[in-house]
Formats: sequence, C-alpha cells, structure tokens
Amino acid sequence: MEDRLGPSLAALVRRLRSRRLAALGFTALATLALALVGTRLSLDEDLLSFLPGDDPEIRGHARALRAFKALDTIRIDLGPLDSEDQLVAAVASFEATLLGEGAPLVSHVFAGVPDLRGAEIALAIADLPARSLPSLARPEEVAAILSKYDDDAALDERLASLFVTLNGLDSAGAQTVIRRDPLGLEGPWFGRVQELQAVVEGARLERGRIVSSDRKHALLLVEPRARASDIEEGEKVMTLLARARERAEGAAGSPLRMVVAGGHQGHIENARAIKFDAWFTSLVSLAAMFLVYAAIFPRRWLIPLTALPLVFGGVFGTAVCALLLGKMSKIAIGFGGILLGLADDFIVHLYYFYELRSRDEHPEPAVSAVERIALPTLAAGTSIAGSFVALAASGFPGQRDLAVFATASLAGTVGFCLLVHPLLLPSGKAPRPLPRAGAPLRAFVSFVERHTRAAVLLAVVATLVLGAFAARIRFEDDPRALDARSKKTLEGEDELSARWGDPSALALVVASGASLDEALAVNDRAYPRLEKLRDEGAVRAVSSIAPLVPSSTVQAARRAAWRALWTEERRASLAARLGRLGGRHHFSARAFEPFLERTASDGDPVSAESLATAALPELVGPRIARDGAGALVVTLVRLRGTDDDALSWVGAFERETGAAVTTGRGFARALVRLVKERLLSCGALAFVAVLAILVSTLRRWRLVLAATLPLALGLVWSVGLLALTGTRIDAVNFLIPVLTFGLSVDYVLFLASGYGRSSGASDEVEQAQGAVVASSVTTLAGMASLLLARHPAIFGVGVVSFVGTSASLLAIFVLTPLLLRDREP
Amino acid sequence: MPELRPPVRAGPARVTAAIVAAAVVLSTARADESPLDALIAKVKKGMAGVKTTRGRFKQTKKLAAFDDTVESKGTFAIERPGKLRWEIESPFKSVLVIAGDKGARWNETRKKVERFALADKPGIDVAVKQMFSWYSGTFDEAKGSFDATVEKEGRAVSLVPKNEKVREVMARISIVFSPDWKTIESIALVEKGGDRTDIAFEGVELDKELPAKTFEIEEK
Repeated sequence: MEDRLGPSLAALVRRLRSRRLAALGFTALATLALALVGTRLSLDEDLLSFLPGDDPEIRGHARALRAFKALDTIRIDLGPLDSEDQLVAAVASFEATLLGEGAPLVSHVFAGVPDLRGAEIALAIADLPARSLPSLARPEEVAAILSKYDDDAALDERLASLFVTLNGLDSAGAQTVIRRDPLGLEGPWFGRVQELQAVVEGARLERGRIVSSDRKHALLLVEPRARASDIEEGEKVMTLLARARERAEGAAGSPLRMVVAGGHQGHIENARAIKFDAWFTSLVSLAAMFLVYAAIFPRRWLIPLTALPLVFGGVFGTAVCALLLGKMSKIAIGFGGILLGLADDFIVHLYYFYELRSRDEHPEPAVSAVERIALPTLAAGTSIAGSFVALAASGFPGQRDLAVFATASLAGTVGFCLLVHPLLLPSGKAPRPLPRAGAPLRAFVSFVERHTRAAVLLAVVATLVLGAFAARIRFEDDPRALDARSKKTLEGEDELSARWGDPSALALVVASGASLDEALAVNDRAYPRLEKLRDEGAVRAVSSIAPLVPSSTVQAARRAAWRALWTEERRASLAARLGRLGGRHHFSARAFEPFLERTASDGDPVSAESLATAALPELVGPRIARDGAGALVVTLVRLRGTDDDALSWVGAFERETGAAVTTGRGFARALVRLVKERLLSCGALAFVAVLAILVSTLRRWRLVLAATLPLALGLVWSVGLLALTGTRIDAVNFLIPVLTFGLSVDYVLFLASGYGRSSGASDEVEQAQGAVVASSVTTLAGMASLLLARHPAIFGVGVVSFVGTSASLLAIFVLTPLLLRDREP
Repeated sequence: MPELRPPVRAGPARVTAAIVAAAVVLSTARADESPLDALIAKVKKGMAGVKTTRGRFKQTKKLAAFDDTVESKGTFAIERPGKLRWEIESPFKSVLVIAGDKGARWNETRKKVERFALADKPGIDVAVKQMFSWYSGTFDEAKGSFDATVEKEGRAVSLVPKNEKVREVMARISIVFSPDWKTIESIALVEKGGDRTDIAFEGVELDKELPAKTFEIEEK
C-alpha cells in the first residue's frame, strides 16, 4: 500500500500539537456550536414513519393504518361486575373522567350509543330507503322479488304474513314500512345494513353501552390525541386511565378490573424495554471495553478520554442530521447510538500504535501513530460509510436516517480521532510495556500456516455446508416476535380478543380515490366481491358502508333501472292485485298507496357527506378518511383466522377491485418481501462500495482479494450459522449482515496494512495483529452485551451482529494471512 | 379504530322498536318526591317479589293500513328474569317464546318453528326487553329522554318522546298498572296520525308454577 495520506496527516497533527491550546479551544467551541445546532433536530416517534415510502404495498398499509388510527385506538375492558346497573355506572364514570379532565389527552371516547341516539340512528337508517330506495336497491334483486310475486297465491301468502307481523309483539312501527314496501323490496338492503355489525363478535348494546354477551364486562374505545408511539404523552394517558378506573370502581361500588389493549400500552412497554436495554447493554459494553483497555494500555488515566471521540462523533452526527434532515426517527438515532459505540475500534488502533511507538521511544509517538493508522482508518471508515450508504438505499426512511446519522457520526469520530485526540496524548514513555495482545492471534495464524491444506479444505467445506444452510435462512413474519410487551399485557390482549373478537383476524379493506366519490366507486366494486367471498366461506363477515352510500355512478345506474322497471302497466297491475288480495287480510284499499307512489318516483340521491356528518356520523363517519392523497373508505372483514390461508383470496381480490387489504399478517408478509428484496440489493450495493474502496486503497489485486474473499466468505458463514441456529432475519436486524460486512473491513484493512509495509514487516504484522485483537475484542464485547437485552429486536440485532462479526473475523484470521504470507520474510 | 364500533341495529319492521325500547325510560331528573317518583317507587315495590305472571291479553289495532279495527287474543306468561311466552290464538295462531338470550317463533303462515338468538333479532329483542322492563318496574334508564306524566289518579304513566323525530313514529306510550302494583292492566301505543295499539291484560295470575315447556315450542 502506498501511503501518502499518513505523512500528510502526521504533519498536520504535528502543527496542531505546536498550537495545542488553541486547537483544543477551537474544538471545544466547535463542539458547543454543533451541540447547539443539534438541538434543532426533532425526533419522530411515529413507527409508521420508519417504513419505506417507495413501496406501494407498504405505503398502502401504512396509509390505511394511519388514516383509520388502527394503531392508536386503545381498547378497554371494564369488569367483571355482577349487575348491569353497576356496569353502566362504571362506564359512565370512566367516560366522564376521560371526557372531563382527560380532554387535553383524549380526542374521542366510544362507549356505546345512548338509547335515544340509538333510536335516532335507527330512524335515520329507516329513512334512507324510504327516500332513496331507487338509488340503493340492486335492480336484479328488485326484479327477482317482483317476479316472485307475479303469482297471486304468493302475493296472498305475503299479505297474510304481513297481517301476522302487524299484530305481533314486535309490531310497533312496522306499519309504516309495510305500507311503503309490502313486497319487501327493502329487505335485501336492510339485511346488508344489519351486517354492518357482523364483524363485532361478542358485543351487544345494553342500555346504550357496549357489553359482553354475559353482560358482566363493558368495552370502551379511546382515541388519544397523541400517536401511540408518543411515549411521553402515552404515559400521561395511561395515568389518566388508571385514575378513571379508580373512579369507575367507586361509582360501581365494587372491585373493578381494567384490561387495556392497543394504543400506547404496547409502545410504552417496548420503549421501557429499549430504554433499559440501551442503558444496561451500554454499561456492560463500556465496562467490558474499559476492562480490555485497562488490560492492554499502560496509561490508565487516558482510558476515560477514549469516550471523547465518540461523544464528539455523536454531537457532530446530530448536528448534520439537524441540518440535512431536520427531523429523524427516534428509533434510528437509538440504533445509531449503539452502532456508534462500535467506532471505538479507531481509538483502539490509535492508542495501540501510540503506545507501541512510545515503547520504541519515538520522539513523537502520537504523530507517528497517526501516520501509521491514517490510511487504514480512513479506508475502513469510508468502507463502513459505504455500507451505511447501502442502508440508506434500502428505501426505509428509518434506515436512511440511521445511515445519515451513523455516517456523519463516524466521520466526526474518525476526524476527532486522527486530528484532535493525538493532541491529548503525551510524548513521555509509558509506565509499563504494552502487552503482546497480538500473541494469541499470532499463534493461531502460525497454526493455520502450518496446516494450510487442512485450513483451506476446512474453509471450503465450511463455505459449502454453511452456504447450503444460508440458502434456507428464514425470515420473521410474525410482528409479535419483535414485541417486548409484558406477559400481563399479552394476557390482557388475549382476554380482550376472546371476549370481543380478535383484532388480528380483522382486515381493513380500503378503497381509495382522489375524491370521496372515486373511493366509493372502488368500494362499490369491492363489496359484491367480498359478499361472494363470505358466501363461499373464504371470509366470515363483511361490514361495509357500500349499501348505505353507493357512488354517484352506481346510484344513477340504479335509478335508471328503477325507472325502466316500473312501467305504467306494471304499476297498474300490481295496484289492482294488492287492492283485491289485501282486502282478504283486513288491508284497506289505500293501504299500499305509499308504495305505489314511490314506484313512480326516482327518490332522492344519497349524499355520503350528509350521512357522514349529519344523519349517521357514528356509522359512516369512522369509515371515511381523508389525507393528502385523497379519500379512503374502509370495509371491515372478519377473517377465518390469522394465518396465510385466511388471506389466500387477497391477491386476486386486490387485482379485481383496486381496493387494498390491510391486516397485521399481510403487513408482516409485505415487510418480509421487502426485507428480502432490500437485503439482496443493499448487500450487493455494500459489496460494490466496499470493493471500490478496497481497490482504490489497496490497489494490488492480491491485497484486494485477501481483503474481500474473507469478507465474502465471512458473510456466507454468518448467514449459514444464523440459519443453522434457527435465527430469523427480521425487519430490524435484516441489514445488520450488510453492516457487519462493512465493519469487518476495518479488521481486514488493518491486518492487510501490516503485510503491506515493506520495512520491519514481521514486527508490523505482529503490531497490526495486536491492534486488531484489541479492537475486535471490544467490538465483540459490545455486540455480546446486546445478547443481554430484554427486547427481542435488540437481542436479534445482538445475535446477528455477534455471529456476523465473529464469522468475518474467523474468515479474516484464517484466509488473509494465508493469502498474504509470502510477504513475510 | 373503527372495528369494534357496533352500529345500532335496524330492520324493516323493527325500526320503531328501538324507540319503544327507549320509551321504557322515565325522566327522573327531579330529585324531589314528584308523583312520578312516587309511581316508580310503588311499581318497583309492587313488582319486586313477583316471580311469574301469566294471563290472557286482548290486543286491539286501529291502523290506517286496516279497513277495520283488528282484535287479536291470546295468552302470555313471564318468568323473571328472562322467560316469556306470547301466544296469539285468534284471528290467527302464532307463538313466540324467549328463554334467556335465545328464542323461537311459529305462526300458521310460516308453519316452521324458527329458532334464533335474540342478538340476531333486534326487533324482538327490543320488544321483549320492554316487556321485561314494564313487568319489573325498572324505569330508571335514559333519564330525560321522555316527558312523563302520571295519569289516572296516579296509577298510569304516559311517556312522550322529547325528540321530535322519535315522536313522528311513536307519539305516546301509556301504561296502566293494577291497583296492587303487581302487574299491568293495559298498555297503549299511540302513533302519529292516530294509529294505536291497545293491549289489555285479563285473568292475570301471579307466582304460579310454570312448566318448563311453557317457554319451548315443539315442531308441529
């Protein structure tokens, strides 16, 4: 390796050391300024913003979840209470607390429909076909009903049945409907409207409240003002709920249990787990790092200073993100912080060579160390940055944020390490000699070199075997696998699912369009297809507003068909028959005048806006949403289960209707598909980026091969080992193999840099091995600390990064010396 | 999240049943001992110890749809807390039985026994609930929804919906209680335009042992 960079940087450091105070003062001021800039960075806690916006399927799922607040709504079960009076009192008290003092935190509470309002809704529903049947009724169904009563006997039987109905216990109000619709033309429409509640299992309205079938529990749906991922507000909401429960218990006069599912609860528990893990694993990692430093470095007072480059890197990265992004994912910055810890390798290399030079009584050990490590450090830093850029290319906004933060932080750390940190290092001799940290690696390499054939054979066999396993790596498609919710919370969710229906078995079928009418048109296409699926048993129930509000096109077509059907001749004939046969069942001659009048009219068109805002806001309002891209209409579909079989109809349905189906399972499957796609593309990009950097740095094909072959094989081995141990690739850890690939460049470059030096080659190799051992031990310790994490996502990152880096190191230690050994004297 | 928002039930022949259900409500807004409070207290006290009620009923329907007043007669039986039989013997035959959250019905035009869950028949559910409410004296719900006045020397209550739309369908409900407050003498449902249904209960027996098959229908 021809190294012009090292001497240049060394000269710069030498000049800076001559003005040390000024340089350090400037650095301190710059850090302060950067920290101030960094405070402008706002953190986005919305989980959905972590998802890629360039994938139509993912975008569709995220849009549906966001528009209909599927992730934000909190479901609350109150009970068990023996008396309905107690239950009603408890719910009233709970609701009052949330809507009273909880108003700043809660935007909406749904605990049922008061009796009178229920009656108004029933009237509004009944009023719809009364005014607009020609726009609502399907022409083929109207024709089929009319043809059924072409026969006098059938019509006579129908009229007899209506007479029975009018005299039955449940006859109140039936007269109005019978007079306007003696043949039951509204029947199919009412049947569909009644299906609106079909997806709600186990719930019923009692005294205006949603109660369970055993009438001992009540259900409330609470929409907080803050998103579920807003932990700070979420804590306040949970405190409010606890207070509301206490008061409800007082109102009920009996012990009252509250079970909460959805919304903030899971996010808070996940955030707590992540927070705990971040502190705990960081402390463990830091302790391990300091232990290694204490064992290796003779000047222990310098050890605390190792944190300075990392701190500066973090401040620099945050400032860059504030300037470039303005807002970034909180999750990304969390993971970025963990990854930044891995940059301690560069400090280890600096210290290691600094102490080596000091041991050798070099007059300027810090300057000489910079000269030695500058090229491999910058090359490794650039390679790691290259793999971060590959992360950014994944299209996941969170990964992009992570890439920008980590790359900028890395640049800051490397810059501080090479230019500022050497100013803090004294020129005097160390109190004790540097241990031969490279000795174990040296012994290992010697052993491999003595058994070259066996080592090569083993490497080939390992590659073939682990490569075969690597092809079978499994991807995690269960979102709960990344969930750190407590056992209590999960049991609560199971309890709610058992009592009120499993929300994960509910699909959101979303029709969208530039305008509401366009969305309704898609909804009109989707609804009959869903009805067919229900009739075939592919889904269990369908709850759609399509019967209530067809699109304007469908309404116009139905009205035209209505006009064509009701000819004067048909009307006159039916009027005569109803008059003649009705008399047999006490019906007056004018009994069916309202019906005959409506057959001569088109009725009123139905307005979706008016239903959603005035007549039926409780029914229609929540099914319609608007966002920047247009309007959305949601249909709820109760699935036959939560597995893939239950969703087998989705692909064909989406193609045929243009509506999109969102379920937890479907979302997870889309993520897995994307993860697979992006893992391959990002891996390829990272490889090309790293290869380009290695070629431009190492220049000689043999060195490049010695560097890249172990990295490639290490990647194959690590994926094979992950497959062998049953570790699954998930939406969080999927890019870690790409990252460890980039991080491992650090080791291979430093190791290769030892072989690349012409003078004192053997000593340089040993020194390089020592530095690599020291830095890799701290890195592995950092990764191993993640294995202590409670949160499965962080644990998964720990497993993948630890296995990946270990496999890469093994491949580097076995293959790089073999490929470069004839460089030794 | 909208998935668990149960819509209010509606059906062609059940539309106003929901309103009638709401009409079981009496306004109890005033805390002082009004005639209404006194009536509620008497009804609750009178009906509190009654386990079963059975008897005959005569229903008179005067509807615009009919060219004459239609009279129907039959028997009824109630066993608290959740059993009911309503049998019409003339001018046609029909039976409705309810036991808990399940029911069955038969009539001579339908000819087959239909068994159902009350949750699936909201119209019947509402009608049955109102019967149980009236026959148990639990009038304390949905305060303020109706204007209630006490009539007939304090033995009857008249309920008028405060809501205009509701009044368009059900103008008034009147319930007359027996002198001992243990049962109901008559119910009148008055609709807009003068249509009305009057149900008079006769030969009422209290706390008689009712055979289990009272609340069942066998296939005929």
